[in-house]
Amino acid sequence: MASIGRPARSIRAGLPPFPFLIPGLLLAAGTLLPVAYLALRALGAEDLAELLLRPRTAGVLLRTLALALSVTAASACLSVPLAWLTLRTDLPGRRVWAVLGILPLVVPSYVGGFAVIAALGPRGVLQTVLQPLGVERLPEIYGFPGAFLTLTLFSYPYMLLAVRAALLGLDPSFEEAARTLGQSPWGSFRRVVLPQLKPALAAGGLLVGLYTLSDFGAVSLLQYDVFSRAIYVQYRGSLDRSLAAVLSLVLVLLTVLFLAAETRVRGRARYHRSAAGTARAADAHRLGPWRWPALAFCGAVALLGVGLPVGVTGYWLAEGLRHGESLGLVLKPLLNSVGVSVLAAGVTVAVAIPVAVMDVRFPGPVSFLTERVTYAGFALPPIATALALVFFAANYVPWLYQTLAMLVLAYVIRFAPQAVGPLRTSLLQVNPHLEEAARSLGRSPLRTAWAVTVPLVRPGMAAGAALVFLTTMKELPSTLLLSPIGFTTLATQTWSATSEAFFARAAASALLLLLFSSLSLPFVLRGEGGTGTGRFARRRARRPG
Amino acid sequence: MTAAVEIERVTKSYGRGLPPVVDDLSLVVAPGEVVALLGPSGSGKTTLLRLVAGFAVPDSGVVRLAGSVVAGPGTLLPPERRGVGMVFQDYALFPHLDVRRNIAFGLTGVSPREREQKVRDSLVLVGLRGLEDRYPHQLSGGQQQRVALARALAPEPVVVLLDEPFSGLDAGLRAKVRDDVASILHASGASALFVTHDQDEALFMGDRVAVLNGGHLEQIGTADQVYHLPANRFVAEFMGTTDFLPGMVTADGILTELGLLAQRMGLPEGVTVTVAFRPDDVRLEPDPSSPARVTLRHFEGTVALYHVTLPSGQSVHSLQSHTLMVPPGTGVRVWVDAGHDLPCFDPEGQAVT
Repeated sequence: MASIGRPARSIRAGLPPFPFLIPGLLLAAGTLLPVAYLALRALGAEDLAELLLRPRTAGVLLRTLALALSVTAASACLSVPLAWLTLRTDLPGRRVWAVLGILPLVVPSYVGGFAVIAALGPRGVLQTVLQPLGVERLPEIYGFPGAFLTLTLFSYPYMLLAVRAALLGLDPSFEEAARTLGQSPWGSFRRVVLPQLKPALAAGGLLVGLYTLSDFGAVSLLQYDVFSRAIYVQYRGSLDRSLAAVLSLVLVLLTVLFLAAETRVRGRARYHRSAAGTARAADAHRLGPWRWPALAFCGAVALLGVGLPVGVTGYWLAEGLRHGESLGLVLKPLLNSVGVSVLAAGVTVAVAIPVAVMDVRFPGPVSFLTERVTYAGFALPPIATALALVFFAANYVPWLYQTLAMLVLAYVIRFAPQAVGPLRTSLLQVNPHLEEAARSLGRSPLRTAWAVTVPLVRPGMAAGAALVFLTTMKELPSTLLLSPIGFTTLATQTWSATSEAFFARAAASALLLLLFSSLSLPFVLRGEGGTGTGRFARRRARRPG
Repeated sequence: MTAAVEIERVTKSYGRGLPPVVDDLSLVVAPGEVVALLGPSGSGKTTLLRLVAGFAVPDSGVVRLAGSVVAGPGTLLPPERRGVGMVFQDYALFPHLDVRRNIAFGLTGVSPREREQKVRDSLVLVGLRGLEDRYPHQLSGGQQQRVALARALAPEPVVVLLDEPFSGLDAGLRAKVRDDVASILHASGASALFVTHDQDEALFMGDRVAVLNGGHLEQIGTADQVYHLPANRFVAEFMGTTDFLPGMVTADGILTELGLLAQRMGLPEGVTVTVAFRPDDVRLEPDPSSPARVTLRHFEGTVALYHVTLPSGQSVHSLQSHTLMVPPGTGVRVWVDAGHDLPCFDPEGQAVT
């Protein structure tokens, strides 16, 4: 007979076991503390009212809203025709245009900013080409035009994805019904299709708006004074950091507003959705002679969204090499980037496991709140959270300030949700009876996790780690503010070289970033990867014997 | 000898204010005994099993395993320290481990040689030698079932808990696996507590059968006792097709619509009781003059089940050889010929004699 062990401490109902609870709470605290500190610091500023009511603050707010609104509107103008042309018409090469339309998503905004400046700015490609023709000056690219162009080009795919999904779920018989009721093709689109795309437009629009609000790279390179840039300039240029804290807090509040709106719209969008799955594929609309302007439109978007960043980086790389620029300069930032990203990916996945286990296996208010709070780290504008961490570390943990550990911690807090997501999906596919079986066979919760759960969620761990690795490679503001002195990465090198108009020097690291970023496209398109036991069975089945 | 499992006045509800799922229930499993927990869904049988395993925490009451308290006031042992084996409805074989490592999973703290030996013994016991290197998905449903049993038995647990162990198998395989599991359990000498909603399974497998309803233990006894001497109307109704007829106690027996049942009763004459009988107790033969009519004939292979409507409107069932052909609409004479006393119940549904 098996022996019966010592009595355990009583299990507290409703609380997940400590091995999961403690790391989860630490992560949640890591996310909340700096932001809370930021709020305290901003609200504690003696001249809070004066700082808030300054004309400068109002100007920043207006510019931020104007940029977010115009980028969103422009994204809609690109997304709806692109989605419709690639899904509902006989446009030649529809699939290629669809992929090219989504591809700009992987271009980090500061690489996009680099491409726009290096192409259209003073001493840029266009200027060089036009100079022999006597063109001495191009229209100013810095400020609103450049920021607007860059952010639109590299964030509209969020809206395109939403509109495509909605259009795919739309029963084509609606349009046919409208036609039989006497509507022209345009009339049926305007009166039947477009109204049903509204929830998708709203949801996609809010995503684009959030992206614009939180962007730092493009607006700082193009010197458009919105919140992100104003915060950074204020932080770098002045000893009194209260204004930076106040601006950050306003930006956080603005983001929270957008997030709340996004949540509401998303909820309603689900409610409005037509029956899942289309009964049959929609007949393609014949474009006839209209296909030429349609092709020109798709071609122009692809040229700007994909051709511009790739072409410009290629051009400046070649220019640089021709003028004796050394490729060796990029080696150290590359190694730094890869090293710190691997570290961040490993630590993030390790911390994400307890959070995901708590959420899936021990549902309750504590688990729910922990998971929600970790998501906040991802949603808040990176410049604000990075600044909050700087303040916090400088005041309370000076020995951590400007160390690699601090930088990794910032990445972990920011990217934990990207690891929690795929892990959750994997975990949901693991039969809880497997864990109970291990427990009844004598394994403690921690040993059960190690022997059973972890091997089964390995695909989710891999997907989460890959995603965190790729986003860490791209991350600019946290790296800029929290790196140890002299620690350059591909992101900071691209940014600083572009700021100083050393286009050739920025090109190599920008190109590498484009390469790494494009690896993340499958994740972006498929959402969360990892199929748990199913994938296991298939892999094992392929083994001989 | 100490009982393998002692459940003493255990109550469990899932949340304050909700009715208890297990209500003040007591039950004992003797060493080497196989006890079937039988009941409709929602009767609390799986919860009871999980209370013993340690996956559920009792609100009150005591659970002892091999004499030691594992759950009770001030004590709560986690599942891994209880020494129970569990066979899950879906087997829960670890998909990333082969058969050998699945079975060895619970064999911690023993030397590798001993572990290897025990794995081999377990595989011999369940008749799966040679499949050590297979992965769970490469096994048939019946084989998976036996690996799950071997895995649960290998650490020599105080008791094996089986949760609806045969529900995942198709009908043909089910009978065979049931035979195998019964003989494996008896060969290993393990105590077992298993949950089922199928009364045939319970009667076949259980040394004793515990009938549960609404969190209460309605009756516990051998298969014969539970089947032939149901403690109340619920048990009678749950153990197979049962018909009930009102009857009146007389000096010679019980007078019912099907005539006089010669059966000695301790009750005074004139008392009304409800008599329970099963289709195999009821005989019938065609008789055009009889007011009772066949309404339906269910052909079931070697037997046919007749539905007969009596003049009172009451319907009874009769099991007949397939050779008897009485088409629906025919008048039949119906009588009871059980060869044993029939269970009788008072108006509250409790058994009376």
